[in-house]
Amino acid sequence: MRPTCPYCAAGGAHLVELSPTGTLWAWTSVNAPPPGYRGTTPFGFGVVELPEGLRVVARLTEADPARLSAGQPMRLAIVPLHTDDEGNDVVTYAFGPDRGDPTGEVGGP
Amino acid sequence: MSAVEIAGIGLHPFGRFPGTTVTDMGVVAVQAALAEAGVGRGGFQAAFCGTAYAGVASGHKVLGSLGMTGMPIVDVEAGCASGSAALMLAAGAIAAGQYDTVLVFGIEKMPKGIIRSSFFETWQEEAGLAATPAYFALRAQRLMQTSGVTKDHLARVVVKNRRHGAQNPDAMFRTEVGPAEVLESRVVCEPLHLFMLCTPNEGAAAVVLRRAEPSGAGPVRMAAAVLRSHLPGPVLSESTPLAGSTDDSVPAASSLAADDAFARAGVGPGDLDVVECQDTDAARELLSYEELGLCPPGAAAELLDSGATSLGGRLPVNPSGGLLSKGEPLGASALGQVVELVRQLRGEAGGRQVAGAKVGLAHTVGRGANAGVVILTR
Repeated sequence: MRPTCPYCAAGGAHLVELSPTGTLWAWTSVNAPPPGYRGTTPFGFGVVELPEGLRVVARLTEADPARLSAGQPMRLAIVPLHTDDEGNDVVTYAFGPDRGDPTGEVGGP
Repeated sequence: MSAVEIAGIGLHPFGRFPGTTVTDMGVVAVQAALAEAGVGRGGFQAAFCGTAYAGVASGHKVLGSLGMTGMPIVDVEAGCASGSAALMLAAGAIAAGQYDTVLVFGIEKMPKGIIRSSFFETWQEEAGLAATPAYFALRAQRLMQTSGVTKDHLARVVVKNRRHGAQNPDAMFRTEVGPAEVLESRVVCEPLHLFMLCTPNEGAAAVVLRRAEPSGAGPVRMAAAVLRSHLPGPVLSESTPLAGSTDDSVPAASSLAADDAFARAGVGPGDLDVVECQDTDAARELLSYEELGLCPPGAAAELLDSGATSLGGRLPVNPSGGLLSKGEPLGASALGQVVELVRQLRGEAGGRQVAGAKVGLAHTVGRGANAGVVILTR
């Protein structure tokens, strides 16, 4: 069954792949671990606007708000979070300053 | 449709009370409200209890310990607007003729620190995405980027509300702070410093609602009690979506609730004498000015600068000290606002009295998103 569009309630929506690049729309840093989080702090946190007309909330690879600016190009990256009790590396998605590297290398510490 | 009046109010102070259970606090508030209304066992036909974290049948535990059960008791959860939801249900039932007298109360006992919410999935918590103050910070930053709001304005909202709260014996923080002190408190999430965020805490509040006699004067009336949820779209609404559209024209849940409440009450923003609004963080209060129609879009900083929203101004906002002074016991929050407005409209607010207040508005907004607006008149 096709999903329902969460914006206009139309049925028959279909999934599309979104761009791995966008522009920075809002950003801050998280300086103390939020509930259920076992990774390091501080970490960057923000909203990236994608060319398809969506704004996405995500971690940012840059934790210093002063080093980011409105509208700057950002690129998707996979970043480590922590190692779980069974020794597995837990990762998540994040956006970082786009260095124009299509392999996905982004800026940040 | 019948008019609804407030026959009694009761409050357990907001703060931290080790050794006092959430049921104990509910009992204090409920007993005070019932006593003021002159209502005892059998004197109300239904009860609605707002709470988000107190657990299963928590309203029943309060009324059970008073020997006052038998009527329908409904616990209502709507995040920070849980109490508003309870008020809407109770007022609606009276207006529709279902009941004559209804008890509404709100109770909460929150741990310190960032609220842990089942709203977030486990993977979101693990990824650090359950960082609630970060969402507030992003919204504060957008407000600063798109209007004349500066970090100095955020500090001055705190200074104003803490000055008001110093006059409120039921508030958690009863000392004034200066702007430098606010800006020197630690950064939680830039641009928000610790003093710019309300603290989740403990407390209870209760009101007895009653069908009003048609004749005009008398007790404070509840002219509207509205709850609305968010429309899809905005990425920084209290619905906390992980993605949103780029359509910035979608109205906020608070605007939907305010417009609805003004229409039902037959008044407008210009008729208000006093407002209690959701100041989860300092920027949230400024955003509320705009969403409730207290000022045109983009003019919140100007309204604050004018002094209008300070005690002594044209339209004092959060004379109780707001959540920034009282703290936020989620389920009790909206009822606490209504208790404050009733005191204001009765002229019983002591050192924080808004002279001659006749029309008041209470506003809550939080997770869901849920937004509640209550309008009281005298």
